[in-house]
Amino acid sequence: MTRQPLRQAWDGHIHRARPARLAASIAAALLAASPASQALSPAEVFAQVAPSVWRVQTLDRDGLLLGQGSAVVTGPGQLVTNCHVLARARKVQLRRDGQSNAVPARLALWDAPRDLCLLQASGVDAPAVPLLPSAQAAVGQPAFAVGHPRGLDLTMSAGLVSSFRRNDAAQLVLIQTSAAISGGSSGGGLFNDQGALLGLTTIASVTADAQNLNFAIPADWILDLPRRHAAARAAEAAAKAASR
Amino acid sequence: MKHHATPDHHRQPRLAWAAVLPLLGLLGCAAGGAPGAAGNDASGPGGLPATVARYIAPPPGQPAARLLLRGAVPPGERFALLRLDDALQCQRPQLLNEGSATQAAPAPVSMAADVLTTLDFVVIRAGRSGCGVRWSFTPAAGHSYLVQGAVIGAGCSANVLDVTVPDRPTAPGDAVLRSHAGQRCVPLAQARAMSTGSLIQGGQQDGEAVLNPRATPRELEGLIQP
Repeated sequence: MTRQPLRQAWDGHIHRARPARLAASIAAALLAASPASQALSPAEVFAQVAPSVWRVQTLDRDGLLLGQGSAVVTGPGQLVTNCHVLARARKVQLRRDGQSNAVPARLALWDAPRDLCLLQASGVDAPAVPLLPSAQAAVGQPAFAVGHPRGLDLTMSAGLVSSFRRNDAAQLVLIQTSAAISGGSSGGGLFNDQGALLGLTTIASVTADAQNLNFAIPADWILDLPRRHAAARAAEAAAKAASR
Repeated sequence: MKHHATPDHHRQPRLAWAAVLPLLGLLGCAAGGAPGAAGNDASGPGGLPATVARYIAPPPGQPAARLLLRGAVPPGERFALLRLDDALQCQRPQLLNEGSATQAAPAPVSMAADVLTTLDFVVIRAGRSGCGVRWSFTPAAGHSYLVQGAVIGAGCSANVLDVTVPDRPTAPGDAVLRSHAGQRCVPLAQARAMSTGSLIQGGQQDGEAVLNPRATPRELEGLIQP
């Protein structure tokens, strides 16, 4: 991965360049998700993906810890997480178990309606995970959640893809899974048995009368992020210009 | 039910999105002991302030919506739904319906449609009304709405749903929570839209699937570089 500070590469009027650049790396990750060969054991899946799942810490304006979540590496120095992990933050940093120093990160792309944000962190040197198109996922296949629930670094849980939740237009919105997640899991990875990313764990049910009802936004949305981000920013700019 | 699988928020643990309950719509919560909807301690029969008049349904031919009320309260407590005639200022309560744990579910009532409406779900304890949750929305003529509330510990929560299609309940499009953290009448412009119930149903934006069409990057402003 490049050690060149991304801020340097992205300074100036580069809103258009950013998405293109990111799209290329994300597309590469998607292409890397080649059709299945052989299922890995859970331990092998963990060994493969764990280096790519980081803990996200958000800080308030006084530098106090505001919240924690998880993020998954999808490109050189690029990590995706849920936007709600970053809510109200003034700074973001990333951590790994056993690392004394936090890695500063900055928000590069965001898509609030999809609760999907991309962080840039030049200090993250970790392999990108391949993305699995949801068309290749099936109910009943094994699913593994890896994240940092309750600040417990790199916790893995196993389950199944339980269902696909769709909107009124029959478009995929969430992948339902029985793999356990908790507060702090948000933005963590839901992986198949080959270590490809099915989605980001986003919603958990935590009641006495509901068990193992957890949800991940689909990995396909990561691919759309640069385009949707650019479109939203362009619309904002147009609205601002019109209001002047 | 937690509200968002969520970050671990240190100082104020954030509820995970209560999205799994299919019937969860606009969800509001309130602590117990809140003042009565009318701000009047003089209680009439049933525990509501004596000044609260009963709402008069719109005459036939006027735009109207159907309103259903369900409540889950402990034995000995009652629940009621008030319509605040001044929807903007949350003033002039009118009793729409009421019930208790031991009574049959309240019968549906008719209420005026196509006008901004503020509803107040209150729990009546020991002869005093308290723990109110308020929303504002504009009922559509011919639609059916369900307000369901429950006592949770010392507080209560309640939501409002459009149940015109009973097996596809949705949060009313313009519904906003007016009561929040001790504020009994949050100004309309500052009230929060809370369509959490539809999260797992998702939505659409410009023809594309999204989790929450109403979400904005406002909470990310501290991280967005100009």
